[in-house]
Amino acid sequence: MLKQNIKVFSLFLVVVVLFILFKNGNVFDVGTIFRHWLGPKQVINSLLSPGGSLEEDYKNLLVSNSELKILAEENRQLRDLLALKKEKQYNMVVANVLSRDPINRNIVLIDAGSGQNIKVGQAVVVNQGIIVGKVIDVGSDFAKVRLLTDNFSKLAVKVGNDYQISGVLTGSLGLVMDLTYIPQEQEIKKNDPVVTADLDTNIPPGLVVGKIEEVTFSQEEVFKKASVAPLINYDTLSILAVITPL
Amino acid sequence: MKYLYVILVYIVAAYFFTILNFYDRQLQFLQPFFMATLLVYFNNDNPWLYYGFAAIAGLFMDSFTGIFGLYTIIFLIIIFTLRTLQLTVLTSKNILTIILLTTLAWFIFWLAFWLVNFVAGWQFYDFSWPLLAPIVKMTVVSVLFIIFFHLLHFNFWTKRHGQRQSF
Repeated sequence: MLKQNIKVFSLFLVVVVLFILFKNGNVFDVGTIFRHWLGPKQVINSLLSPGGSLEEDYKNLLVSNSELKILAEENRQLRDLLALKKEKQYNMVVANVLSRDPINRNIVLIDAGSGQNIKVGQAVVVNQGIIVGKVIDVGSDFAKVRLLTDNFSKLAVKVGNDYQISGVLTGSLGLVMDLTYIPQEQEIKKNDPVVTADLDTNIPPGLVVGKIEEVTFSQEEVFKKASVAPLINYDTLSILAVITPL
Repeated sequence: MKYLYVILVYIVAAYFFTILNFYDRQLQFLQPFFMATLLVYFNNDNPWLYYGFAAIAGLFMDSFTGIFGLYTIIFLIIIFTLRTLQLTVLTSKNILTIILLTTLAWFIFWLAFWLVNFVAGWQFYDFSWPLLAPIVKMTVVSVLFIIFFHLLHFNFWTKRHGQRQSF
C-alpha cells in the first residue's frame, strides 16, 4: 500500500511538473482550459420571448434594466479609455479582470496576453489615465498585474507644483501607497496630485496615480514621507487597459 | 453519487463561507476547494480518484492565481503525507483522526506556502502577522465543516449502502 501510494503520488507529481514546464516553455498552458470556461463572456441582452404575464414582463424589464446599467457603466469606462487614447496617442489593449489571487488580492489576472502585444513592465490604467499597476507576468491569453497598493510595488513618480519633486511610490498594506525619498527641503502638501515620472521607458510620464493624503517628516531623517490615497477603489476594478508601445 | 456529493460539498461550503463573511483576502475561493479535496480523500479508497481530484482542484486554483503549479503541488504533497501517515502511524478509524489529519493538512498547506515563497523569493506573497488571524479562523471553521460533512456522508451514504468506511 505504501509503495502504491508513493507510485501514484510520483506519477501525479511528474504530470504536474510536466504541465508547469510546458506552460513555462510556452508549449501548452493547461490553465487556458479552466480560464476559457470561466472567463467573462460578452454581455448579451437576454430578454425572454414576449407573451408572458405583466409580472413576468416587469421582472424581465428589471433584469434588462440592470444589465443596461452595467453596459452603460462599461460604455462610460471604455469611452474614457478611448478619449485617453486619442488625447495622448497611446496604443492601448483593453482587458477584463479575470480574477484576483486568493492570498494576495493585489495581484490581478486579466484576459489579454502576449497575443495582444502585452509585455512585462507595461503600465495598466483605468479611465481618464489613472495608473493602477504594472504587468509582471504574461502568458499567451492572460497577464498578471501587480496593483500599486501591493507591498512589493515600486514606481517612480513626481509631485508638487509643476511636478518638479521626484519620489518613489511603494504599496502599503494593500490599501494605500507610501511616497518616499522626497528631500526635506522640498515642499509638498495635502491633496497635491501625484503623477508618473519619465524614468521608466515602459510607463508614459504624466499618468495620474493619486493624491497626497498626509505628509510626515522629522528633523533627524534625510527624506520626507507621505501617504498617497488612490483616486479610485481598487476593489471594484473590472475593465483595465494596458499601454503598449506604438 | 459520490461525485455529486463532492460538488454539493463545494457549493454548500462556498455559500457558507460567503454568508458567514469569512472572506478575508478572498480566501473563501481557496477554502472550499481544499475542503473538497480532503473530503474526497477521507471518503474514498481509490488513490486515482483522490490524487486526481487534488490535481484538478489545484490546477483550477493555479489557473487564476499568481504562480502556476504551486497549489497543485501543495495539494498533492498534503494528500501524500496524510496517506503515508494513515498507512504507518495514524491507522485508527475515528473522528479524532479526522480532526488531527485535517488540522495537520492546514498546517502543511500554510507551511509549504510560506516555505516555497521564502526559498524562491518570488516577491509575490507578503506573509505578515495580520494574515495569521484569518488563517487560524479559517482552519477552525474548515475542520468543523469537514467533520460535519464527513459524518453526513458516513451516516447517509456509507452506512446505508453497507460500505466499509474508507478509514
